[in-house]
Amino acid sequence: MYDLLDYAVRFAEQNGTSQAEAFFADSRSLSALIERKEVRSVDSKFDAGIGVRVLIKKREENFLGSAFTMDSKRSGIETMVNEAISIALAKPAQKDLKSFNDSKKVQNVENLFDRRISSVEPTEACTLAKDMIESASVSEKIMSISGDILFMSYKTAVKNSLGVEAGYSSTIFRASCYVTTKNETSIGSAGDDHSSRILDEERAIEVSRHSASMALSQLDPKRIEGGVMDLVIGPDAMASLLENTFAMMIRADQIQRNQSPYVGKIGTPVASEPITIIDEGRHPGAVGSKPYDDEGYPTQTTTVAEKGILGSFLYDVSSASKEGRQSTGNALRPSSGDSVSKYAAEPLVSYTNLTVATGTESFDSIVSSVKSGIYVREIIGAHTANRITGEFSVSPLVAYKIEKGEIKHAVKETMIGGNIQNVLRNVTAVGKHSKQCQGTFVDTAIISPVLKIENISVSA
Amino acid sequence: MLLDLTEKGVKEAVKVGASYVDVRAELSKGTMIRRSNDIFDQTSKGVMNGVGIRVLADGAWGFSSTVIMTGEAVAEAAKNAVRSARAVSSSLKDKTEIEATAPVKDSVKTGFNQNLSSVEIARKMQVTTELVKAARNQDPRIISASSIYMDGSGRWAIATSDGTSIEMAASRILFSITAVARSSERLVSAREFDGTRQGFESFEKIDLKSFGRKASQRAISLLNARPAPSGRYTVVMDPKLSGTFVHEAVGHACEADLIVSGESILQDMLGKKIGSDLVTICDDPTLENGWGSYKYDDEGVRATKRILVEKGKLMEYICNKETSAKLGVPSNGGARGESYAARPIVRMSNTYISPGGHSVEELFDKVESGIYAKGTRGGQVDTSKGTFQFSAEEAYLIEKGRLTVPLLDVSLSGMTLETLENIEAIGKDIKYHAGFCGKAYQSVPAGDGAPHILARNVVVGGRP
Repeated sequence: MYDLLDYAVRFAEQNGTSQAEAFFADSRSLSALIERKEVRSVDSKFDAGIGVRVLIKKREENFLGSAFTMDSKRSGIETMVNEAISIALAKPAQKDLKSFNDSKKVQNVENLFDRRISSVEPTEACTLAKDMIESASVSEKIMSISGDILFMSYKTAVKNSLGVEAGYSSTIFRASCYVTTKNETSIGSAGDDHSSRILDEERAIEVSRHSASMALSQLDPKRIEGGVMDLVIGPDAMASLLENTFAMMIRADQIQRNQSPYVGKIGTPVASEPITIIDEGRHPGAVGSKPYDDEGYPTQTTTVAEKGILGSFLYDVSSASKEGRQSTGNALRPSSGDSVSKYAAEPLVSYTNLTVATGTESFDSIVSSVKSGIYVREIIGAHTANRITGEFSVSPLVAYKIEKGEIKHAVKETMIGGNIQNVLRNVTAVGKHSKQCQGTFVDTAIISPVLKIENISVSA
Repeated sequence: MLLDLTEKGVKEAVKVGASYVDVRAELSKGTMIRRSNDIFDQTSKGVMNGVGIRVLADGAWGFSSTVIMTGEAVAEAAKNAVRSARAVSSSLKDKTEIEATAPVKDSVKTGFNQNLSSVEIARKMQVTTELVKAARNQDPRIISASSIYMDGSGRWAIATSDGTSIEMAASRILFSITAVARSSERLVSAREFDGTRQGFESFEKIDLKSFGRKASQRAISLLNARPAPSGRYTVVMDPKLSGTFVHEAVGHACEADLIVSGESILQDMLGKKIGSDLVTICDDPTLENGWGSYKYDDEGVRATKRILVEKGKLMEYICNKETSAKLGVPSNGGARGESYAARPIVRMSNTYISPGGHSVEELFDKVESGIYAKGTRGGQVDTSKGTFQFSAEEAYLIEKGRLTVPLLDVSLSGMTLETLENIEAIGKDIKYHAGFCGKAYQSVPAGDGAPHILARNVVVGGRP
């Protein structure tokens, strides 16, 4: 693997570039598919490729080009490097990125790799999927069970002209389940999922059990009156909202483009006092954890907001050099789904494990403090939120009415709307347990506890 | 060479016991350019290739894909796929059956003249530059603009154990512009997006200036917009938003995989009335130059037009080989995979609602008080319950048939069956739009089409 990267970097250097950076990723995955209450297919995939970035210096100015290939023969690598060079020469000078990453710090993160994931057999995947189906088959009202489990192992490595050589191997385990229920008068549905670096069969079983009980609880929903009320929001729903709004607004590249409401807001309150948000790149076993980012820069913990005060944005090497500061290890080559084709996309700025710090309240105490409101566990439509301004309006998929401190019935046909900036300012209670939710990209996660938010607009 | 690899895959899988095989191979090139204001944030080109093999063995599915384009790697993938299928089969009670189809031999090229990989990167970069310039030259309140140009072109091949072998050459371009405006009290953004399946020559006909200006004009008008009210309203939707509505509210619920798994509100409803007489909805992969058009699906089946709903009555589902066998109807070519590396699943192509007889003015005249919602930021549906949500880019209050106050960030939601019943009038101005549809972690190009539509009693979500 490093031979290929070495070849790409040397070939680029021999052809007139001042610096070159080569990136490699390969992934093997096995997944089992559940449909119509049975395991219906097992899929296996092998994916691999190389990406390269080159810097060319002419008259004290830098020119950046990038290309990738899935053809890892020498001829394929040479064609790729030549493409990157011709792109660099076609572009205007690059003002921000004068040099690739030069940090050679070596570090390790625990619990990134699980041999039981990399060596899983189709029969083992089928057995676990069957156990999930069984755990969801708890009532005659369960109409359908579908879902999947994924076992993936992958390697990534970066090498550049400045002597950086940073790579790691890791695994991902994901389980998801979706259940529908039916009685004489209504239909219910709900889903749950889990992702981790380490195999966790018990959590997979819990996912399907949980999906079934939530789908049952959604039967016989009632319409409620709209208005402004308290919202108790679960980790999955909160993660969807943050992923599609806040996570974009704290990227330094977005700030520098003037495409965030948080421009110029460092040191000012952006959330209520109980809210602390960190990006924790080295949380053991978390899906967003890794020793190095996709520029080979060591990952770290960055405090985005502490007790409501905006502390820092997230940086890669390029956005950091624009402000004369250090990267926060948040360069990410985006890839999603069941392969890690990171080589195919240029790095952008992204969170790793975006974490809303836990508070002190139990779920029961949060609910009991609500006179009238709703408890929302899952939403649909968060991707239609405005990523630049933070406005959103979404439909709860799993939601309950809260009256006088007690959860009553499932809620039918409502929408909740607002702006994430106001949502964060109106948090008045933070739960003491959190859940790790899969983020936008394959190696990102959003971790959140249950939150209580006051004054949310609910339409009915 | 691609077709040879796919045929090799079929042979190898049959040799180790597959009763049915389809193999897809791809060799393509792509370009990605993103410009923000004065800077090219991303400019990259790439080569993609791979082979995916799906088998049915002992009545169960197995799938395996590889990026290594050699006979040995393909043979190994074929073995993996069969081994996986056998593992599934050992406990499968309801064995998988598929519809047999007549073999097809064909070579297909979509309508592009100028091969994208022969166009210099500088000309593609120029597209993003023009868009940003057009958006920024408007008004000092526009504080930022970003544009994207993406293309992909190449060759694809599919072979099946039914004796089908098909080669395809195709290309696709998409481009977008986002404008951000700021006033002392507000930050807003607006986006325009479009795509074409023709070659680079398309830009001779596309007016990038007015495309870029449209985004910034809309952003400026949003600066004066008022937060949307929430509650139930009479809504007029423009063609873009109506298209999203048809896709989310009806299209997904007609996908036969969701029908057979009991995850669609439209299960057991064929021949039944599901909406107003005014409503006729089709999904048509044969639409000329349609964004979501294709001649053969990813199971090698010739795609045909599907009339999903005719005058309010549910007529047809979108099927692949497996669901058509299950439902006892012929496949209409609805199987699509995101790439060679993804199992083909039931997907839409170009979904549209047929035009009615009203002019747009007549629709507005019917509204005493309501909301006009335009443009789309996409949507989502839970097909089991029939609950859907979708969001507009732009909206206005309608008072006595006239547009008055501009509104911010309007989203709409509803229940499929109720909303179809509440459609009260349909315009005659049908327009088609490009988009992408996500399902089971796969994203495919899907087009939609619609005229202006007037619907009563739609839930509108706003904010305090």
